[in-house]
Amino acid sequence: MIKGMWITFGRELRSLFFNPVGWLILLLFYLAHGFETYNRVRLFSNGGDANYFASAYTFSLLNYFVLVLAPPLLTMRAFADERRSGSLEVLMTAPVREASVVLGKWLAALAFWSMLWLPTILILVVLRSEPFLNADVPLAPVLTGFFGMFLCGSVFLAAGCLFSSLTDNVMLAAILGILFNFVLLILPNLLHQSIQPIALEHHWVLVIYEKLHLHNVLGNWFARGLLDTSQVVAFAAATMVILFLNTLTLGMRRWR
Amino acid sequence: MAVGGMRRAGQWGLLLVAVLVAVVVWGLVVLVASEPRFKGLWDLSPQEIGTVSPLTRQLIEEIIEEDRVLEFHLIPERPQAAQTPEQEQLIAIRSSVQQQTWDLLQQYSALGGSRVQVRFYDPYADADDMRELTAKYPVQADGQVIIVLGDRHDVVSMVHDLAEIDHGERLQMAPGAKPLPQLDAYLGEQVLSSRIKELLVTDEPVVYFLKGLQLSDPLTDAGGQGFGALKSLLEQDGMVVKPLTLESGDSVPADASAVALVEPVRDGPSFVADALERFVRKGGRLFVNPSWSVIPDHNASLEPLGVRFGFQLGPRLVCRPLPDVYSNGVRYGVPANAEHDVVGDRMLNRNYSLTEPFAVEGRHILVGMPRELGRRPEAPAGVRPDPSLIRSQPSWLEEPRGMAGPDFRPPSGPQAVVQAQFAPRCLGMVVDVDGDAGETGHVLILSGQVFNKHVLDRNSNFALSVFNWLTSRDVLVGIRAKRYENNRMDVEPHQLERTWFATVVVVPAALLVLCVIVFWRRSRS
Repeated sequence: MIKGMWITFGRELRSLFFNPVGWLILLLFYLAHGFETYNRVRLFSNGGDANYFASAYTFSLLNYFVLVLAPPLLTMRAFADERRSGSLEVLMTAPVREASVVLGKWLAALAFWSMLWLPTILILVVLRSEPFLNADVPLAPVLTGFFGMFLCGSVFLAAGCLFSSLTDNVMLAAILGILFNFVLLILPNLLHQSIQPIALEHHWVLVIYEKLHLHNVLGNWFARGLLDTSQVVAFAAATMVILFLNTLTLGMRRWR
Repeated sequence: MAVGGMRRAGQWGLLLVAVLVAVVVWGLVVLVASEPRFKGLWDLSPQEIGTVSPLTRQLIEEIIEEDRVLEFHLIPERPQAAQTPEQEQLIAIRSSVQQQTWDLLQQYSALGGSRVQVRFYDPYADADDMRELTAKYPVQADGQVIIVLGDRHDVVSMVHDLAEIDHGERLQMAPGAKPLPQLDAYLGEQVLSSRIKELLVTDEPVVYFLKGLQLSDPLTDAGGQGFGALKSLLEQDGMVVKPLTLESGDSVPADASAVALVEPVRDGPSFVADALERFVRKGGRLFVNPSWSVIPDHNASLEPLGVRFGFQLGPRLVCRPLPDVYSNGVRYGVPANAEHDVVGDRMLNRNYSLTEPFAVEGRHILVGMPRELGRRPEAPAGVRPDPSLIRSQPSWLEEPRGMAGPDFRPPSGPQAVVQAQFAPRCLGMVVDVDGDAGETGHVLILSGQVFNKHVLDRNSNFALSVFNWLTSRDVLVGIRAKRYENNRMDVEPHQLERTWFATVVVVPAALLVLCVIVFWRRSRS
């Protein structure tokens, strides 16, 4: 199973790097990131607090957009394209388990996702130095913030793979993924006031709601340098559950 | 075809069931992982401003143990329009304080689980709920936090109680310029935790200060030392402070939670020691605080108490070398510095609840002019002195020189001889005293000036901790606001330009070049 997973991983990662969509995402992201970083530096340049700069660097409007859009775009072709072209059937007849295929494709998307964010940390390390900001911007909240993005990304990528396996229409897979991410990021914010009275009555509702309130989790916890193990567990469990469902949907094809 | 359709429908049905089961499993895992006993929190935020102090955590744990529910109701400020830059700045400050308060309350809620409930009210969406709330807990204005614990409650104003705002008094402005308000400090945790503590503690313990063994009434600031400020501090903390004079045959009043004997200059008659012993053996707690005086006759040995409670007090002053602020080295014998000794966290015993929070948080205690203190070779039955509560750094014992005063010169001579005279000295001791009916009383002895008017402002948190311990109030005070220091960023225009060039031009260009290389190599291979 492990061998099959690594073979799939390698193949999928190569296809992501040789795919114009992946590079387009990278280029557009870093162009937008550059403008955003410069504007933020300007805002903080006159006596601003470098600690808050670090948190804002990690969780911003641009990052929101990337969280919603990038994972579905990276994973939309994972299974849908192969279904459409017929190569999925060939893959399923090979002596490789569904779990290996799912994990391999998800890991490849996750590796690309990590490589999307890693340079932003390096950019900040360089910017802290004297020719640029010459400021003691703390790295710990930046690292925890990106850890949060990594975990959230792993969930969204898993969901993207799942939607991709449910349809042979690449655009439909992307749209479903974008909707899923958008709802998860925005809806808890909108429900905040309505949920409160119920949450006070039933503590379990509050616990679940807090874990689903991704804006709060990413912005007020991870981006501030706070690592809560229950949030890490929530992300990890969600990823595993979605990957399991993905394996199940793939397995359903064998049964037909 | 029909069979195929049914099979597909069955598969989708199975998938739906699997989704539901998966969601339930996820929910259960999250609920278990969120239990306070299972979850952990690492605070990597700058200056650890993201989490609360161990004392607040202790407070919340006490609420959980007592199976009580703590509620916070946050009533936000209503949106306002600014007409001047000053108003705009004030609105920004209020918004920042409100956000910090909300973040802080999330920390309390995360610690307390279902025992701590936090509710944020939208003045428009929750108008009915707010009306109900303000009818139950009268609130005068917006921007308040109502703290409810059982049938007791308290109201704090976010801007007036939880923040220190400088309206320009301390700012140095150019002539004619109007200063803008600045947020100096956010005191959320200190104030909120203190108010919770007050709600938790329902009793009003009585502390008696023994009179007659000092030069003047210790509960005033008259005379050399003075403990009037300590009295005010304790009263603000909800204690009742009374003077106590013991005549022959008297006993300590029955309502006493603790008795304090501060900086005595006389031993006093034996009937005083008898009364105090009877009090301690009934489970009472006694605080004895001797210090050193340049007048030899004022260094009471407290022998009557020492015999009963197993301690002995010597006439010598505990001294150690201190850095000389007037030069850059260590210079011995600078009286202005050598009088006071800062006791650091390594000298405080972490096994005692009294000193543990200070040791863990690395907070110092200032001790002035301590005398040598130790355990008697033989203590009476049922008396167990422990001299390890507070110990000094390696120090020597300065011999009294009558009215000439100490010269603070360290011992001299062969190195081995000198080194042998330096040792950690006992500055604080706890004595457990068994009573006749199974109770255990305690005597706390602190040597040196710790709570008089000269040093109280440096030791106020420790003073409150000591007296809460003496009065058997489990929640020890000492919650101090984490003073957040601004990590200022000042960027010059040329640095801004370089930042623009690096982030907007160089990085995307480098990626573009990399992209071209990757695709060019692929096209060639």
